Amino acid sequence: MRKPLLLLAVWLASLAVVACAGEEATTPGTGTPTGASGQPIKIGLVLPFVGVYASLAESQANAARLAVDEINAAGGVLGRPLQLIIRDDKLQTDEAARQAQSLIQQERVDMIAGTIHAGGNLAINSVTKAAGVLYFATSATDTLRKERGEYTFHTAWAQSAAAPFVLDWVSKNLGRRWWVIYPDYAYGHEWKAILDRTASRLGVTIVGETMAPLGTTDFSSYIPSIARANPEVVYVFSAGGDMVNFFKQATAFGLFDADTKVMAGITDLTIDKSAGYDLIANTHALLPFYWGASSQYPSTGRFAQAYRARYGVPPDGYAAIMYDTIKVYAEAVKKAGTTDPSRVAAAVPGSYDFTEPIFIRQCDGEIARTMIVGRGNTADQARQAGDPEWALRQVVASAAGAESMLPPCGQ
Amino acid sequence: MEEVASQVLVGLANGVMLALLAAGLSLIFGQMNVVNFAHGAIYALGAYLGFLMVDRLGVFWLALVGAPIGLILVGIVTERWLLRPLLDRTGLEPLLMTFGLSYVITESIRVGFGKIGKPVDIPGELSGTIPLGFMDFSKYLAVAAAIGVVLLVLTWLVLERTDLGRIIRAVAQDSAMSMALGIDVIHVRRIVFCLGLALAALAAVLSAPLRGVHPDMGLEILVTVFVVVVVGGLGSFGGSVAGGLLIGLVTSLVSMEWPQWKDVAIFILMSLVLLARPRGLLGRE
Amino acid sequence: MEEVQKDPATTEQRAPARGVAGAARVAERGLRLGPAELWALLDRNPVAIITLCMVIVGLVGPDLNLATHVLILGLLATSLNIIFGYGGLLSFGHSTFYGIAAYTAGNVLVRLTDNFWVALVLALAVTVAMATVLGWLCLRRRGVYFSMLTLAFNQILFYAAYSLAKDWTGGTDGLRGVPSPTLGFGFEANSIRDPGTFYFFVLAVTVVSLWAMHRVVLSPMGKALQAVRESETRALATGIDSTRVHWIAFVLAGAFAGVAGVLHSTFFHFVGLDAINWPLSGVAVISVLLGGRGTFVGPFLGTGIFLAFQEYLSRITSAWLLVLGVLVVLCVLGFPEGIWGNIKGWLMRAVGRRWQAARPERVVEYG
Repeated sequence: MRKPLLLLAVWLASLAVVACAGEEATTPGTGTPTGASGQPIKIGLVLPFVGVYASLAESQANAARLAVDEINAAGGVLGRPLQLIIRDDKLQTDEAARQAQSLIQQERVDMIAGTIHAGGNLAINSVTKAAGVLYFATSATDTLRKERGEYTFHTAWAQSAAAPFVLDWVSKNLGRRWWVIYPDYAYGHEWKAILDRTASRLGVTIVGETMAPLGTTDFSSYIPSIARANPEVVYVFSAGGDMVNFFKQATAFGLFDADTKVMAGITDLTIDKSAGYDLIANTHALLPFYWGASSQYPSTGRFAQAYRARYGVPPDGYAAIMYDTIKVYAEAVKKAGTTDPSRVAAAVPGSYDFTEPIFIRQCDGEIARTMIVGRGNTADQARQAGDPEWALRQVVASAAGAESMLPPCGQ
Repeated sequence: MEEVASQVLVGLANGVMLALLAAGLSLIFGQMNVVNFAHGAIYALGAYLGFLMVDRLGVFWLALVGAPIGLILVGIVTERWLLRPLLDRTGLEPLLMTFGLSYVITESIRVGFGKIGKPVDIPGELSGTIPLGFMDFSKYLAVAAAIGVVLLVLTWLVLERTDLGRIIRAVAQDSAMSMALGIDVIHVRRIVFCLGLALAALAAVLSAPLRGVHPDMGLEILVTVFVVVVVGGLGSFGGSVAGGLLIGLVTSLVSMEWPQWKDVAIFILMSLVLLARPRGLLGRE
Repeated sequence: MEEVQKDPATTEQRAPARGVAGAARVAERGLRLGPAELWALLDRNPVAIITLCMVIVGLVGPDLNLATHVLILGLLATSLNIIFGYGGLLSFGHSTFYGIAAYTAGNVLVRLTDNFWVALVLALAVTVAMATVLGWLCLRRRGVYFSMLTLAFNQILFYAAYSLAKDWTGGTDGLRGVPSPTLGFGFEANSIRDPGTFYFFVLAVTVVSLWAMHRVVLSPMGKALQAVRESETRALATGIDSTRVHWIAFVLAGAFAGVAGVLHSTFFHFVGLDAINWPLSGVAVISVLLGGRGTFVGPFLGTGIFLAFQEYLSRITSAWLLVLGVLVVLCVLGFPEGIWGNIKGWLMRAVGRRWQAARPERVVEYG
């Protein structure tokens, strides 16, 4: 009988150690309201703290806490403090739905924000739509607007909003013969649909394409075909770790040279960091936010400074998205004078500039974020810029988020 | 034709890496009859140890030696305290234990090294390509595959030509009889377990410059390794090599024409093998 | 297992207390609740125990949402136990049936009708058909090869759901907007607007399924299944067709996994790829092993513990998976027969000790 008890004691001890070791940046939980008083306005966050997007979830949780603390310090919203209730959806779509349900039924939240995977966004939307609760989707999805609830908004960038600007830039600055790599899921298919529609108009020839399964670690089997086609641009829509692997392998096989440029469909601070300067130097990428774009957008500088002061690292695009979300919600509640979902939803659409210029429109709750094309720095260039650890990119072109970027309503 | 040739080369090179990893799993299964679910997590741990060494010491080749040693140390502790007490019990406790271990190892990596991946660069002397006429082949991948082949041959030599190898094979075949004949079965099992881990570490370090290093890399590759081991033959070293090369080849060729089928193809292959010839290509039963 | 106990104090034979005669005997002698009685109680009435616990949880528990999830996954784990615990065959593809049923029911509810029973029947039909085919294929092998076959087919069907059947499954986006089903007579099972009613509806379905599974386990077929598990050769020698027994068990296990899948689609209003992918099978296997593979209550208990820890730990720290892994490791070392199995085991040993204590002068003499 003694052995199991001993083991149980050891386990409890390890639990305690881990729980204590978790700093603010890594623990979900409840944010404590300060400053304002009164019945708190509850915001539920659903994010994947385990799995491949865990660091992005942390960014969003951090940004949410920063925004909430700033708002509460300034007196809260309608005299009431904001309160965060953070849940882990474990990167599973059904768990995201369940957490949303739990937040609505048990915690009675006024608004839900999250998550990082597109499937999870749609799952949460299913629930909030049926329950009549406000929902802000904080990661990229192009399908959400087709089935959104009337109180659903999308504060992360969408492919169709980014496409006109970035495709045009690439065709004019990098080349017109493209080999395109799509990740084989909704996100990649959306991009393929967009390219199929617009390529000829831009004068672009797609010399070949690859539909790579999501989570492909080994692109080396695709590389010989790409090399043989000798494209001017290799356009990689695979994101995150997939993109980094492709870059590694392509570099090892000598795919990128003076004649063949590479364009990353989307990247972010943490991805660039894990890739390292050697891989991203002199490559180009689309970024929905870059902390170093302060000369173009003063709000970016202010946000980056506040975030960095608190968390020691600059914010990435996901942090910007969540920060905007909380601030937009607070603004809308103030404007509506109530937390009633239909009144707040009516007050949300409009232009905002908390981290960079954005525009949220009324017909489908979609957002136009500022889009930036960034060129990767070498380690030396980063040192010269004064920030050897984080000056990963420099802004080459950008377009401020405005209504004109969005495709016509209902498309 | 050239296209096929280049796909074949790449597929075989990747297959060597898979074979290293699968050989470790197969050896462990042959010895202890345990399907080691933690093999993927151990692979990840090996990769991170490798990264740590490259990061601190600056030389890639030291990582190739250091990571296996590190994993062996981990293996000794794990085997003594966590696996050995379970091996005499009937049932599937070792399986559940390896499940739990895979979570523990993966999450410890996440807690210790952070949640995003780490970059491991190709050692300077190996960057660049080898022009082969019909394609340019990555110098690093070529050298890594060559090293992998050497390691596999060495392991095969140990297993087939040395006394130790004979003892290992004996214990795998019939541990009760081996014990009756005076062989220290516990000692042998520990050796084989550590050997399996060392192979995994080598595979991890060799692949790191091309695949990167991130906490979930173990889970991603785990099921593929199972497929290799099954197709090659559970418990058979030669089988893992053959299986690894075959799976690498199949994946590479399939992705040429039908990239979406790249992952299903190996499962279809696995079910066909299991239905037609369950002991695999080279397995004994 | 019939017990004819010798009362240590006297040598009277005491038949087990069952039925009216049993009640009379109990009334006569008074109700004893020693370890033997407790063990018998726990062993004979697993469904009642589970029902009682879950009713209490439903009435006073802090998290109805989590409790509903425990019901659904507990049903899945118990169905896995039929083929794994009682049959001795480790199936890694159990999530296949859960997922197929969930997708089918979801599609029925979205496209055809929102009647729950129609969805259930159609989903079960598809699932049973699939289980029959897959069972026939996978049961051509035993042991670890069987397990790998189930895994292989699971992955093939996963990829089918991922891309081939995308119009039906929604691929990575999932099958969205599954409506709350009607139960007939004007009742609706709406997990969002009326979670309490929904919980007890799921509880009812689960209890009926558990009861059915328990009957199967106690039936001659169930005994045959366990006999085959203990020794296939010996069972064959007594005339039991082991392959057929396994096949029937596999199909039944799949069918009840399907019931859980149908409940899934109505609970989440959504069916994602996670419902069919192998990590869900892994959770079911862990739950069975954690709770106790040879027992009926074990898998349910294991599910409850696993999910509860997962939920509450994840609220405290994002390193919850690490703690959970350590828990699993410790439980394997400390509870070799699973938690429930060990509880019953300790009770059994207590019975033995009591029996020994009552006979102090147990001197064995050999002539």
